Amino acid sequence: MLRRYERTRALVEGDPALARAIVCEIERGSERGAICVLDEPREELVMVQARETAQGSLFFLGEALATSCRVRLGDAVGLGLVLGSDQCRAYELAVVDAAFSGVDGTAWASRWDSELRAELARIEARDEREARRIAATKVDFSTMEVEL
Amino acid sequence: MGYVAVRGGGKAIEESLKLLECERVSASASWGTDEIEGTFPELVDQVMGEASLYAPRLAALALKQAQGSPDEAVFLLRAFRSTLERPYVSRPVDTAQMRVARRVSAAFKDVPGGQVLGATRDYSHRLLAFDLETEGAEELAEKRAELTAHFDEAAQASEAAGREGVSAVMPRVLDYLRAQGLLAQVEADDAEPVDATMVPLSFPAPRSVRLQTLARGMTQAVEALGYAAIRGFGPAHPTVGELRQGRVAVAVDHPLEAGGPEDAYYLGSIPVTEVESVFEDEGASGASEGAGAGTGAGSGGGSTGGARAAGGSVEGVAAAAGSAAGCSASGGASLALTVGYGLVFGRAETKAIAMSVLDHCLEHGDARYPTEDEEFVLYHVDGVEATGFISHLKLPHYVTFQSKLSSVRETRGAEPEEASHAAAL
Repeated sequence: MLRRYERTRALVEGDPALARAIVCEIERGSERGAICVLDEPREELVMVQARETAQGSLFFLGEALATSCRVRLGDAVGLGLVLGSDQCRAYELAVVDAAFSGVDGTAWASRWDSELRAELARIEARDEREARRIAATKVDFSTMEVEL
Repeated sequence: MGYVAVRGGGKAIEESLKLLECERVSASASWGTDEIEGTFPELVDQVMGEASLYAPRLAALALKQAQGSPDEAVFLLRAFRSTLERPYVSRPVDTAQMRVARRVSAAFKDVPGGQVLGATRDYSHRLLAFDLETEGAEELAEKRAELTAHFDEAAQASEAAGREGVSAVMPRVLDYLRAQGLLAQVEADDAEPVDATMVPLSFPAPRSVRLQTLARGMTQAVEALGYAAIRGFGPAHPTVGELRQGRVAVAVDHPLEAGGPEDAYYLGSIPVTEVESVFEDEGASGASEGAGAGTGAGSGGGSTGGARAAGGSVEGVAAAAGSAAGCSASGGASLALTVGYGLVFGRAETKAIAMSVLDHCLEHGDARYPTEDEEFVLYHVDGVEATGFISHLKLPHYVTFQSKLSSVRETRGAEPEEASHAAAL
């Protein structure tokens, strides 16, 4: 089953409808008020760390604006983090994180595994389309023949 | 002499701000941030880079508020940034896994993955396109459809012909020099970086502070100093081993749980430009010895990229590696290749190249060259510092100027006496 990195990648890069659909199902399957918002979605900063390749050391490239949200679902606390200012997406990511980290996490992960993988495949296809467009700009070198 | 507090000007300042706003609303179109982001993406990148804050919408908003002044927009973004909490530090972004939109090497003609120009105006004619003057939404849509169809057809034809596409993740050009022993292998150094936004600059500055300060430096200042270093005010002539531009993923570890990269949160991706420049150094034995390894023999520019002479392809260098591995010049001086590094937000290729040059210069630290003087470079490339200091000169300096005037008057008053005294002698 997908781990958190691939799961969040599918939900952040993919169709927003998928995260919404998962959250709707989680909300339907939970008792009223079961999802407790610990931290309302809010803008924060993430310091982007980079590793330079001349000496292999780390440095801070700069900060990025992100929106975060924290929710509790049962015993699990979920964190939603996304670049930009999309508060809905941050909330949805937090709810999904809480559900997938809780006692029923494996069941939730298994229930949505194929959809998440399909979303990753769509993202891959989109990136490939972009790469094919860029391929047209690849230089095709030829050597000039010199007439003696 | 002390400061003298004066009052007044409050009403004039209020009216001045109103007049500024009046000029803005009278002259500007009602562009939203989307239009600004879409029309001036590179200006937005520049502002984000200098503000050291990746937030395209806010950068566009800052540009609108600043009426197009990048300096002012950077100031606004830096001020906004200081109001937010920063609870997270990302995992180190992996530029080797960059989804490459453009990648070129000036060192080798044939590089694995190819020279991919991407979208660039490097080879364009610099002629004003007067048709853009009247370009409306309809023409824009037509051109978009036409160009999209063009690229779709090209992609289909390429696929049908069975030609290889471009891999979005490309191997590093310089890894081939490292494999051949012409560049030192680089070990990951996980020492905690110092954050230039949290501590005042002090010298010698840690490498992490240098790179962060250059990355957030004023674009034109970094470029000007990099240019000066190449021209002769620093012994540096780079060969761009690789320039890559594309998107890198940003991920954050769980704040409480220990976990590997698979358990990190993916937040999205940011566009960056990365440059690895190659320099030929005397007396150094590899990139890892860059720090403090001043050549002591700088000729004011003129060393050439060693890779250029090695041939047009990575394979060519591989074949020559046996004889070149010792890097022994005929004069007996030991030669080595070292790397200067540049990484910036967005599409800022010239700045990234200049950053790689200045990185190399600051590693040398030869005080004879201003571009190798940390204090000279790092203190003066920051836009907010520079514009702030220079702008303060517009504020009242009545008392200090009176003091200057008095000094001049006293000197003038003394002159005839001194002159007559001299004549008497």
